[in-house]
Amino acid sequence: MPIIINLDVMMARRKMSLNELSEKVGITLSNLSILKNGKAKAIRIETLEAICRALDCQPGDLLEYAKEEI
Amino acid sequence: MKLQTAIKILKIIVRIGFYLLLLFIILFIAVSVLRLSGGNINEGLNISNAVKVRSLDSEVTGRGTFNQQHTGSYQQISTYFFRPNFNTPAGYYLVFIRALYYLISLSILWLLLRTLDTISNTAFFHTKITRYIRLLAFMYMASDLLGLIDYFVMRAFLHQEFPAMHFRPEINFGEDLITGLIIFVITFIYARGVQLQEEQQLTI
Repeated sequence: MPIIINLDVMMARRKMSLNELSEKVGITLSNLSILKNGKAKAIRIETLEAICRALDCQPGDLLEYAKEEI
Repeated sequence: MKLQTAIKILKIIVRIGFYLLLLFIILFIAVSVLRLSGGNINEGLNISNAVKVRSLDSEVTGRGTFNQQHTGSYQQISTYFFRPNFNTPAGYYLVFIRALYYLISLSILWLLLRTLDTISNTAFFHTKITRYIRLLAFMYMASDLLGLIDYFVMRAFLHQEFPAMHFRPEINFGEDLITGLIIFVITFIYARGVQLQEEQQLTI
């Protein structure tokens, strides 16, 4: 998938576990897991906003576009 | 009425219908096997040995009745029941085709039951249900196509047995085919629902 979610990278930088982030953002652990593993099909703006607030980062820190090699 | 209540009631009705039909099929097979082995069966248990046929008066007598101006005619259509003897090709064929019809009906009820079970136990949109509905559509279409084949085969038997009477078996072709096609179209819509549900579940 061309959009890579660097959630684990930001979590490591902020030294935050998935449980803690789940509590702060108000999303279930399984949903965060889906996001972290790149299985999510879409992300709501309000979810992105909540994660950026919890991790004190920009959306660009979390989302990266990688061109698919032909 | 709540959806879950409606589903529960439907499940009960379909389950009763399924087991009644299953019982009937078992009885039918038992009677057929007994007759095949030469047993003497009470005519009251002769549940499948008749086919409704029609005869056009004009084909038998060679004419209809015209009006004075010869602008139109009328003729009688007489209804009969053709009852082949059991141990004849027509008799065997009748048992075979009836068994096929009953099995298709049983499959339809079973698929409906599986669909209702899956709806109540898991999410409303499920890939299993798409599969069941598609099979349901095929069963309906198969039933009508079987009816068409049955018409031509039975007509051949009738012509062989009573050539002078010009019998035609009764046929209702098209209803189940259209029902099957409608269900088939609904399958595509339902499959899209499954996709949308999956996307919605994977939207964080």
